[in-house]
Amino acid sequence: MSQLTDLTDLTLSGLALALKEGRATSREATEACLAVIRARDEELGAFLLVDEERALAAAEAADVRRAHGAARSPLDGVPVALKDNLLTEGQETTAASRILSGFHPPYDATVTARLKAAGAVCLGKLNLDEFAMGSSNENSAYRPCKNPWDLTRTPGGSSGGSAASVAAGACFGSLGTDTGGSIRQPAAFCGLVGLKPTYGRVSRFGVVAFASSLDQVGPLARDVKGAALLLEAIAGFDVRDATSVERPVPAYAAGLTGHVRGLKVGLAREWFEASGLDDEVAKGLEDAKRALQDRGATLIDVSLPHTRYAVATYYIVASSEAASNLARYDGVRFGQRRGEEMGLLPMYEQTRGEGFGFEVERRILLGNYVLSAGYYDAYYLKAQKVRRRIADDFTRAFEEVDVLLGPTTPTPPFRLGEKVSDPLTMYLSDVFTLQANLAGLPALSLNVSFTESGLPVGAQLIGRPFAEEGLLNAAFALEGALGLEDRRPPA
Amino acid sequence: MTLTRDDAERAAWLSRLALCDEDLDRLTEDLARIVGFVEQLRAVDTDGVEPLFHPLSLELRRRPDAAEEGVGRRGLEGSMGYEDGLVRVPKVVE
Repeated sequence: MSQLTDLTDLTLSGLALALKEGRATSREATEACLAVIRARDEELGAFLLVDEERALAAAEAADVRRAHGAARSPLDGVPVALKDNLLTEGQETTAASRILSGFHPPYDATVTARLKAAGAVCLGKLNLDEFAMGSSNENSAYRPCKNPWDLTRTPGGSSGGSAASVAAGACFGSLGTDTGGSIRQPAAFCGLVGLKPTYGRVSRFGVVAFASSLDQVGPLARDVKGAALLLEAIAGFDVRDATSVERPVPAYAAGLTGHVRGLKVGLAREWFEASGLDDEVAKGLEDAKRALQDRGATLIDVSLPHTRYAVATYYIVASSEAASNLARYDGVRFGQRRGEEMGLLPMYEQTRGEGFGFEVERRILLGNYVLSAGYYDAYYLKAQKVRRRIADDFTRAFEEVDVLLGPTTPTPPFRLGEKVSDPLTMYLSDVFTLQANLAGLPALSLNVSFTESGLPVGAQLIGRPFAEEGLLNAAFALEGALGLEDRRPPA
Repeated sequence: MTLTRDDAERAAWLSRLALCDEDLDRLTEDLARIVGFVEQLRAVDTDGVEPLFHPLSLELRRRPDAAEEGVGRRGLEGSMGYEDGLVRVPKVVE
């Protein structure tokens, strides 16, 4: 096996160590990733844009810094990629929509700038469901994305490219966004660690907004330590994001001990009793429970009674916020423009009608419908009250336990085309992930098992606000106990 | 209360979305099903419950009222109507 192949099999923290110890250079790692992209991405569809020149220049600069003992961070020289709803200055950013075709942002998102400052090498922009609306990456206006573990199946969504690229070895880590599960579900479907931070932990400045009270940027990586390193680099107060919280950023990676003796792990009965929970997913959860127990954690039954209302609550809230956020796409100041010759209102209507895909239109319509006069109280206001009930369920549960353990998704990765024609079926598959967004809680998914046919199964951990350290540590313990992190998709 | 084609058409107008008949029909169906689904929230007792608009109880931060560097006019250069530092649009007032 060539050295190039060996390199892309490494985890993010494995590469970081290799770089530190001089066993690999950033240039080698970057070239190895680019080779994978060249060989596989036409089929895989993980990338919407690859900038080889820029990446190799960044890699060389990283190697020079390291040679002078001036590495900026453990991420210096590590090839990563960004979901294409994160602004990158001068690099086309489309949010996988036609309406932003050709849009070159005049500034970087804060998370982009922070990764660059840490020395990470950005390979390019990753595919997603249009405007982050979807659970399968099938709503991308540009191209589908496939699961490296089985190319007939979805990598999940909306951060499908973020997950597929890491799982395929095309990059060592990526950033995604999570509004209803869009980091965690693709992480589960692709056998990765994916973390949605506490709302307010990571800046949303320069993130194409979907639902402003739900959106968060987070890392995807093969290993917990890798995810922790990425989180450390991007987290922290940002004066340009009014919802950013002033709290110091702990050393997430260094703090991983794997010690969980005495940790109280809650099992929400509504999750485990959910009809539609696939047997092989349930088995993966059993493995996870056993592993934690073996390491001294205590399992405690809890209840989250409003679980069954999460999907309805989420779709009202998220669609309403999306309808408001996407009003800016009117063809005036940026993005595509159509119908100008017909007048102002037609220009808006044509631009948007042609520029937005079906799922996006569906959610905008739903949002404006439930916000409109006569319906606002019955739908939007009601949903926000149920949202408080959902958040209160968690507050109560966290009086008894430290973290919650449960499924990330009801099923293993489904086949492309299986659900996309029926929106409701797709929406219902988000049932386990939505609640953490509604309540603003940190949540992660990690791989805990494989199905008989070799598909990844993830489990989810949810923690108290700003308790990412504990969450990552519990995941680190599980990862160590289950020993699955060396498994790779078929070549 | 079932969502009608008129309701969907009005929502499309509010959304400034031009839709062909076929799309409007399909979206009416989809919306009717989704709205029918979310009706289940009526069953939840929310008497005396304050809405949770936002997970954080935030106070709007303020900064000194002083000029700062921003994206400025550079941000307009991407507009398809950009001309000499301005943005051309159709007549707003007839």
